[in-house]
Amino acid sequence: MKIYILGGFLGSGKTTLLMKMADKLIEKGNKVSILVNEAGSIGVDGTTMKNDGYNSVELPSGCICCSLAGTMQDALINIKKDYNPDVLIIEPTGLAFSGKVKEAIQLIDYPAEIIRIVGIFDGPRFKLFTSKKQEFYQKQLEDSDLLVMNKMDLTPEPVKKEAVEWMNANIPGRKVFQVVGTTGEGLDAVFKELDI
Amino acid sequence: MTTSVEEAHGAAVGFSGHIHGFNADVEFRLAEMILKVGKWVEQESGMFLGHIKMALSCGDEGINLNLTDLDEGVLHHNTMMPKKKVDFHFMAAVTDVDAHELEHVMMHAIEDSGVDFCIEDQSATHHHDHDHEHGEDCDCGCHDHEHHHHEHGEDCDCGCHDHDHEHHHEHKHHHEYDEDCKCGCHDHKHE
Repeated sequence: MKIYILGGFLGSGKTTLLMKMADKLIEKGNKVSILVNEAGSIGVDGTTMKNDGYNSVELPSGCICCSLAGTMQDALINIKKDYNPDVLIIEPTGLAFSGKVKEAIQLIDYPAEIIRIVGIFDGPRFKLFTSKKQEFYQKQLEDSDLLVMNKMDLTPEPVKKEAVEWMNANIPGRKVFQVVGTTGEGLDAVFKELDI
Repeated sequence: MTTSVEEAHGAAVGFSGHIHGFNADVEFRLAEMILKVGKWVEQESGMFLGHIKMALSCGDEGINLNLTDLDEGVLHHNTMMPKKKVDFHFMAAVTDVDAHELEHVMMHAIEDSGVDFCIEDQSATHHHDHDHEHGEDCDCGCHDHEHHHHEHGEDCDCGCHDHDHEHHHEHKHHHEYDEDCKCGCHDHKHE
């Protein structure tokens, strides 16, 4: 089983990218499961995904990188037992640290061939995040295997340039992809990088 | 040990229920309601960082309303034909506001939207039981009609909602533990 963790701050477009990724994987004949985490007691995306016909599990009321790590580990075992997907896509809450999610999976010796973290960030509001939440923002993205700037169509060129430079300086060694999640523009390069 | 939500100064709350009579007007009112909550977050914390979303569903059909950027507004995903009754999940995950106040604002926002709704009793911590005015009966069976707070023209002075809208839901708050509510519009009976 391959596991992709789609991390990033609240509102960065994780769910939109997740659904595009799931569609692509299903189109290629993969059995796909989705695990969605919501910090609040009420989940919204799980309902949507079930309505859209995806095999999905929702874990509300906490964060799978910390308070719900044990619950996530149980859920992973059940997903393997009940559905045995080829690919599992995990969307932690936008307040989670993806690296800790990966660690929690590795702790139970889960049968995953690969676990890759995609760090997604909102291009137009990049400066707002780095000015208001820099430490958290960096910590959240620093365990990513690759970085994806979403909403590039709405991001002014100087901000794109600044964002890429900031990522290269603060989270070095990662490719930064620019995409438009809603239209799918730029996603082929991301999927290629992820061997999808 | 600090959780990541605490580390981000995050607040994540939500509640579920159903809406009687879904149509384009209700969808518009709900989008306005979400925007109102987003503007409150911006006013309260100085910025809107986060996500406010609502899923409405009926059987296999459903729509999503999402707000991540006040300039961009509320984005609508999918379409749904008018329905007699739809389920909803309403949640907000934002930063730098008090979670209890956020839930309070969300409750008032949906009440003021003029939408005929019911909240599942167990889904909210800041609990508003509500009833219909003018003696009308609600047959949804999901809330207790014995609980009235504002009676027969009695004004609420909290200033955070409009009492003139039609099909008004009167309400009472139940605060758990020893929390105080600042709106001043109700008796503080603790459960």
